Amino acid sequence: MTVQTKPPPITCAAVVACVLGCNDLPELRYETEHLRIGTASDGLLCQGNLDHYERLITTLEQQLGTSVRTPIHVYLWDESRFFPDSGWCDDSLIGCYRQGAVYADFISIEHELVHAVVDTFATPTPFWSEGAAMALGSSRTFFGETSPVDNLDLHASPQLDYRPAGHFSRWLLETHGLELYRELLRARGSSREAFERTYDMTMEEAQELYFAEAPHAYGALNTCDHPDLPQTGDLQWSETIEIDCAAPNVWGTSQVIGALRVLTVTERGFYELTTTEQEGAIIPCFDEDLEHPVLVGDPNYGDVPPASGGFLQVFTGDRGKSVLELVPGRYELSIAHEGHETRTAALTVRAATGPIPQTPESAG
Amino acid sequence: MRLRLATLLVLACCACAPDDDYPPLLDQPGDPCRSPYPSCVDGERVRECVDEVWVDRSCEESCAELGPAMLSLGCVIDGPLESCACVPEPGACAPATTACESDTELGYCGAGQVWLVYDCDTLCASSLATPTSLGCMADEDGEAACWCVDG
Repeated sequence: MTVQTKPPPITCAAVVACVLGCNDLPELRYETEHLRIGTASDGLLCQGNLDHYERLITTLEQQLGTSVRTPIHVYLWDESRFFPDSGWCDDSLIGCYRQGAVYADFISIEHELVHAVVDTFATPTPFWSEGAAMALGSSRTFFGETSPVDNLDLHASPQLDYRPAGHFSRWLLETHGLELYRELLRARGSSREAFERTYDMTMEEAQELYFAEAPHAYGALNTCDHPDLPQTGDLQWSETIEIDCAAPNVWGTSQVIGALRVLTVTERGFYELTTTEQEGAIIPCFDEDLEHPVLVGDPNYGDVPPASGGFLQVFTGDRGKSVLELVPGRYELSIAHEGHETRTAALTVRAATGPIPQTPESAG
Repeated sequence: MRLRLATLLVLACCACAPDDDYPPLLDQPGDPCRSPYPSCVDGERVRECVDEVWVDRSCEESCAELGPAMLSLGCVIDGPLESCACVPEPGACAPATTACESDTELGYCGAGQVWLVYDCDTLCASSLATPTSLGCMADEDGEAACWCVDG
């Protein structure tokens, strides 16, 4: 992590932001190969954040066959609730990309970084631009409640429905590959003209195939890029982790720091999750496609189902549940504490010794 | 003149993108769907996503999919949730319900809504980490299960 002390270069984006809200842009404090990141307060980001954003840029460069030659300026806001008041984007938005700079909070930053990478080689229409940002981000894409064709000519949020834009783009990537998709993003004309010239079929024909073929959700292209929790025995995993903001794979916000690990479960069963940290939580990685929606409580998926955007289960504290039924798959484990104080914490997962409830349903 | 031109441009832009220009929802019979959430058409009929298409059908048809011995009480709206209320026919059990038959046996409503009795020693033996049975007990929510521990 490099803290930049000299004044940030003034960019066109800074002028745009001033026109929008006349707020001062935060100081550029962090520097990676492809990013210059400004935050309102020091100590907002840890090395894990920076490494993750840098890895995302590198992955997107490879996926899209492009190169980010000029560092992307990122102005990061800590409090999602107040982001629209910052004046950096339109009132209704929680992030935006304008002329070489990303204005975002922790929720929207990855979406906006995709816009920034696409901008290195293409200027697609809003339907294809938002579609790419949704399809290539770190979340699943979902079958929407409106049709792609009905969104083709819409210009921006809130009218443009991002879900079908993203899911249709992802379906195109899955069914027709990256080369054509890159051509689509570069194609001139309206959304329809760009598509029909690239794919040699009408949007209506493509949409009919999409409705017939696309699953409820595609797995994310970039998910759970964290170190594995080391396996230390039969159905047992454990690690002592130094939670130091300057250490690799340690994440932070202005209020908490913590570490993320990936747990790979190969056998369905009940597992006991423990940590010496203040809080621990588990969510499923967004690996698999979901043919149909998964509802919380579906016994086929255990206590941490791959539901919609992900189901977070806390395993510490009075309201936490430390013995969980897990089905085979990858899970993201997070441990964290308030403040930025450096601590050492243990994280352990092992097959629960019981007593655990067993029914014919859970026995499969 | 410049101001007038700017005003015209703003008006033209507003005209081409009115605020209420939202795309129509895919929520009519025959529209494609993936949603798990049905909606009541009226007191007896429900709109459900069947084979990825919205279909209107009777609650009798909908309840029959849960088991061969289910009766419909009609379509019920409960806050944001709308669905057919289905109950087992007299003498049949509700699918996937459980009850302790004895200290060592668990009853379970299996396929066909037939009540089956399982031995807890056998059920626990199928659990890799906890193969030893403590017997059949109900948890704090009243749900019965065989409770198993490691050897």
